Amino acid sequence: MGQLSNEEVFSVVKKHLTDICEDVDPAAVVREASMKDLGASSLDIVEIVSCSMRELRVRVPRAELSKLTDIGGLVDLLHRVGAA
Amino acid sequence: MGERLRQGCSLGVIASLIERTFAAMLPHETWSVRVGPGGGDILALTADERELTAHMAPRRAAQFAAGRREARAVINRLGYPVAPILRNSDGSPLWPPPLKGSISHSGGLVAAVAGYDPALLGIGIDLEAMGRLFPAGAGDLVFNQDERQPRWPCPSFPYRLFSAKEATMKAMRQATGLRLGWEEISIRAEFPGQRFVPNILHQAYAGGHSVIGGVTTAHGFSVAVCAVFNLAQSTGKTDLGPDARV
Repeated sequence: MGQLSNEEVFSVVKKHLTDICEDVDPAAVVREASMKDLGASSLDIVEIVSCSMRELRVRVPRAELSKLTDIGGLVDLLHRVGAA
Repeated sequence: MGERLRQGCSLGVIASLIERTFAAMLPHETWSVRVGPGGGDILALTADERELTAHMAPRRAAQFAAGRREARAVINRLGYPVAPILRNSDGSPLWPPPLKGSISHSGGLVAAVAGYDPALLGIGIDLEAMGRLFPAGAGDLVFNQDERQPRWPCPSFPYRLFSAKEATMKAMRQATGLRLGWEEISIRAEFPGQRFVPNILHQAYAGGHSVIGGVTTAHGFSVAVCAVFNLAQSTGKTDLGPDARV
């Protein structure tokens, strides 16, 4: 991943979230929200993470993913791994 | 009308399949399962439950209400007083003691299961709509090396594997408090046998449990249930019987 800002990484995650969960209101996608509370299923979440990783060309250790609780946590993790 | 009839038929078939898959794990009188439409009325929630929906999107709040509706029906069927079902800090449902239970939503349906048995420490259920091919990238993230196959034997296979893992995660969290990652559960995949025995790979997991599950597919859904028993208290009713594929 090139040097994308945290905000740009957020945009990538948001795009995949709203693509995969079509009835999610884009305005409700904020860093503090949990994807579950926006209506994403377990499999939706896996797909959102997977598509975001592919687009950003990063690989996140799977063990890190189970600790995440909100969208901001995922964005920070993707950003940190991409910057390393 | 036709659609409603079809949906009613699917709900009944899925519920009876879950019951059949789960029947070898617990005596029939100590557990119950319900499957229902995935949208519920938030006005039917208790005030404490409704408060939990304050930050949810409307669709998720309706799912939440449907889950509580089916959970209450399960509790009622088991003969326990109906009480609010709040949330643990990890977001999972907080069942009124001594019940253990689980709720899952997917594809416009909701499934709830609960049970009571002295040896039962946790139950997990996972329902997945199989409306498309399992996303390849998702499989890379969720499945371990020994679970992946160059080519799945059938399109439902990865869904069943995923459901089995999700149900195991929920059951183990309830039983032990451990929040397992996908890589920390290995499922011996010998479907179409319905039973599975997960191998728990978490470093902090000390064992001492019997962890067993069942998985099946019906009407475009994959459904898995997993139960965790205290091995010391287990009386042998957790025996999977002659068709166990382990």
